[in-house]
Amino acid sequence: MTSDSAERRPTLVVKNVYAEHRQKTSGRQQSAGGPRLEDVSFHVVEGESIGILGTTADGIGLLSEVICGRLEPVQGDVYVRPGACLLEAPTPAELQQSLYETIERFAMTQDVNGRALKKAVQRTVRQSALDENQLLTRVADLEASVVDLAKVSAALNTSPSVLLATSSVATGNALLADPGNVWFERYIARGGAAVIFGQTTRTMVRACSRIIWLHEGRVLMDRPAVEVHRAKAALDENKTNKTLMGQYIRRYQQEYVAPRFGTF
Amino acid sequence: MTEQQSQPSEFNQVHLDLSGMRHLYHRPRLGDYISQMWRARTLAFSEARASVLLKNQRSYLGGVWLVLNPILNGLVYFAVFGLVLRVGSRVENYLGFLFIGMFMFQMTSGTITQSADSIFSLRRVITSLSLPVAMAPSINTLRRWLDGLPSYLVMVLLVLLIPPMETLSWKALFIIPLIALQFVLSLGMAYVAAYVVSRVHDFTNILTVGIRGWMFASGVMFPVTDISNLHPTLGVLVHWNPLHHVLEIARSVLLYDTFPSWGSWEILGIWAIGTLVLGLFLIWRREGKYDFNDV
Repeated sequence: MTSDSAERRPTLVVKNVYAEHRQKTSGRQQSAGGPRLEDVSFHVVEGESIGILGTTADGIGLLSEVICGRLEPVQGDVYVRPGACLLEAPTPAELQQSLYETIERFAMTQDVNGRALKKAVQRTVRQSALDENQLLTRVADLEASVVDLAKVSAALNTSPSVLLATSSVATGNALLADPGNVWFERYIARGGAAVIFGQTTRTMVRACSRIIWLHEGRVLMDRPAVEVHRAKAALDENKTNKTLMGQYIRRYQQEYVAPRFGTF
Repeated sequence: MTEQQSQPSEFNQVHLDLSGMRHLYHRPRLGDYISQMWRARTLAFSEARASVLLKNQRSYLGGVWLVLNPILNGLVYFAVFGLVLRVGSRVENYLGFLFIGMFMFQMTSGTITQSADSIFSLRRVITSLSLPVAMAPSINTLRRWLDGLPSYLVMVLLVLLIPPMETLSWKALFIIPLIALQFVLSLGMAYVAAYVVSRVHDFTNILTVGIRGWMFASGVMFPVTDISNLHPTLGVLVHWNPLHHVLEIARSVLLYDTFPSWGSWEILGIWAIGTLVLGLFLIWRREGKYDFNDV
């Protein structure tokens, strides 16, 4: 964490979260098995972009559900500054909508109505260089890269408090290549915040200042993106050597210093 | 300064100012909740409009079904109750009586059945757009009304065109506040049904049977006097049945050119405001505790 982040307001706080999928059996809540989160804590401040690295088995899907408000943690607290925007894979209903409707929907998530809404949509159409034909085409019939770029533009144009990316936006080129990376950098420079979920550091190392690495439901590392990228690369190089991998993981676990939040 | 850091040995102590942040899984104040709902109104309308257009895209006749469905239903009931059971001989302009009953009852009953499971079925919309949970039944209610409002125009046209071809007076304008009140009533009942189903999902099965019984008790196909004459308790239940009064008012202004009774407006108003306030309160009280888990 950089020292100047001490000056900025938090946009997302995850405090001592324990979570797991639960199912109702004969009226009782029981663990449904699968990944679980144990004592996960971190926070994101304005002007900061962080990556959440890990596999589904490590619990990144679970963590995204907790942050999005879909899965109540067993224990712990989550605080989000109002105005968060979630970029995730489209639902079957969204795939049937036109690209114009999708853009309009993103613009409206930040309480933009009336004339301001039209302006926001027009700005996205201009920025993403979309023609009328593309706008009226169903999302399902368009290339994913076109849809992703339009969604990133629509989301960033409304200046969300924090951008949560879990779909191909997080793993593809939308935030890495021009013009998506320029919009993203401007948004972060304006005081925006982003959380990018992924299994690799490919996007994170270039788009994020910090990466939080989840391993078996616990935070293994919370450091600058380049450091985590190197540590992950070192681990991946020794995938076949279980003993060495175990040594690396134990060392990372020992080095990790968990944050303790005092709130006021 | 909103965040301060120090470096003790075991923990990284961080002081955070959480003012203005939303505590997930904790309900906001009722005033804030209503203001969040108001701000999301355009989004709700857009979601409802998109789902109506999507539904009609899949069928050959598209939007024509909005009108055709209630007409076909009305004709089936006319055949059964008008021609076979000859209920019509006791009612003046029975076809008009039946069409008004069918069209107006189906709007409220359809709203309730469509909205009952909305909290779970729209969970992705609610969570991905950070909307208050009460927007789920609101979106489905808007959807049903966008879908069904053209049928009200058809209803009035049928009353004018089918023998004995009624002529409308200025009293027919009372249909506008009536539809507004019926919308509020449907929305309130949608909130209550959505809340109950979110707590006990088995209620969806009871709801279907309950609505069928409610249809007979509302005087959709025959005068309610047939029911209230059976037992005094049934008479009381029919008297307090809000949809019976919706149909009474509509028929009096569209068919019989009479002033609707003030008592009918009062009962309808009490139900509309009562269910809206109760339903919204119940949904708000459970905010942050809804189960959106797919497992």
